[in-house]
Amino acid sequence: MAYFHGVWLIARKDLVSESRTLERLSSMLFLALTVLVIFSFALDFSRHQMADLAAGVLWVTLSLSAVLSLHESFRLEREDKALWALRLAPLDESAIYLGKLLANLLLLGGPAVLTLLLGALFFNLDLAPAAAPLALVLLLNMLGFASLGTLFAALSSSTRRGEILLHLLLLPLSIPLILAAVRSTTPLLLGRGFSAITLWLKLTVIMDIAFVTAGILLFEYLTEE
Amino acid sequence: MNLALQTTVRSICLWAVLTLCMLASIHGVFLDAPRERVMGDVQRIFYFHFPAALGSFLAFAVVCFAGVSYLCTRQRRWDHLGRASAEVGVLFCTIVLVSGPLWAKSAWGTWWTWEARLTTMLVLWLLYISYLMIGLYTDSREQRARAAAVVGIVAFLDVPIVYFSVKWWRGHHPIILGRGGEGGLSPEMWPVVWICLVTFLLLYGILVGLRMSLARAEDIVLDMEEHLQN
Repeated sequence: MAYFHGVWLIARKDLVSESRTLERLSSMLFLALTVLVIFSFALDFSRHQMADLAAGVLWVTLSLSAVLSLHESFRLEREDKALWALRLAPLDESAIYLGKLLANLLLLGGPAVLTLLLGALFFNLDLAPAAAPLALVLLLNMLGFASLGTLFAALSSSTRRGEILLHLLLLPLSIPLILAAVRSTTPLLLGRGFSAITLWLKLTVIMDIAFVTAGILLFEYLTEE
Repeated sequence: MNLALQTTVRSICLWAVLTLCMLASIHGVFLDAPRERVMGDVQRIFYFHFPAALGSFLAFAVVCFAGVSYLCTRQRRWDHLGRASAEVGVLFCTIVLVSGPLWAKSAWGTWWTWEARLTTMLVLWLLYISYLMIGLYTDSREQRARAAAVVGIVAFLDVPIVYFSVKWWRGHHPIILGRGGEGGLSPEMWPVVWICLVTFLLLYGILVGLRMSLARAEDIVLDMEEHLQN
């Protein structure tokens, strides 16, 4: 129990400090909005059958804006060596990882839902009938993305040009995640049932398990000084 | 015999064996192997394509193994092995990505298709290029080694995931192993495949060995630099 209490304390710390500035949320939302607008010029939403393309556009937008937000997640810990203090706490390293992951999941999930709603507005889509499965797809894929992102943000924040490194590492590694996300979102937007996406959801769950486990086991090696 | 001489003799022997294997492979591929009934001579690309693909998978498995060993033991030689193997793996992957489209243009009528295995190789290529770029963005050797080990492990974890996700997304690739089908090999082709496999494995081993000794030399120079600065 104490372990999970520690996880929650670390997550809450991040959420509280974010709630005071709203830096990450606002920059992620702003970038997502900008990318959506750029896509609308590039693809001409009024002419295309948007339900086919919308999932791809949305997930590219989400993953690009998520990398930006993830890089920030360890920046504060590196300033004034706050991470040392965290590591001195009587907590397992994996609890720090899981706490950070939980905070990142919430901080990515919030703007992701808003981006999805904005996308629905721009593409003229009706999300209501598929709201519950869409939320599940969003949650599972954001979990995978956040688990890899939290792991590598710990690395990227400790190097000089870390932000480039995070992009270089995170985007190729998450190609299967983005693929699965697009493949499971498209049938939902086209009004097909939940059964059309079970294969992709299973794959996403496998990826989540693999990436979270890797994060728990490997996190401590990336926070060493 | 002193150590330097011993090493020289050993490497000359290895290079000699490799040269012989390469000549035997080229002879086998162009003269011994029968002309494929449907695809014609273009099929001979396969003898380079397939061993390079297997070689790159082996290389990436070694990167993962070296990563785990480095994190457990913290010996620099594992870091050297990981980086050397990744470089050779990317090289082999590049051979696959170049030879695949050359063959596909003739067999499928198009340079590139988003076919499962071709796409998997492309994603792997991207993954391990990013692995090789870690060195550019880290500040110390120790940090680079730790980061590379972690990325090498996670990237290898990604290999089956990439393969299955792309396979469910797309698929049409000749089935080489198992059921015959379009790409089934005739019995006379197999010896040539084996010779080529041995050649590529030997090439992999020699290149990794060379790259590791270069990494060791780099490390010694850096150690001396640090020693002089302090």
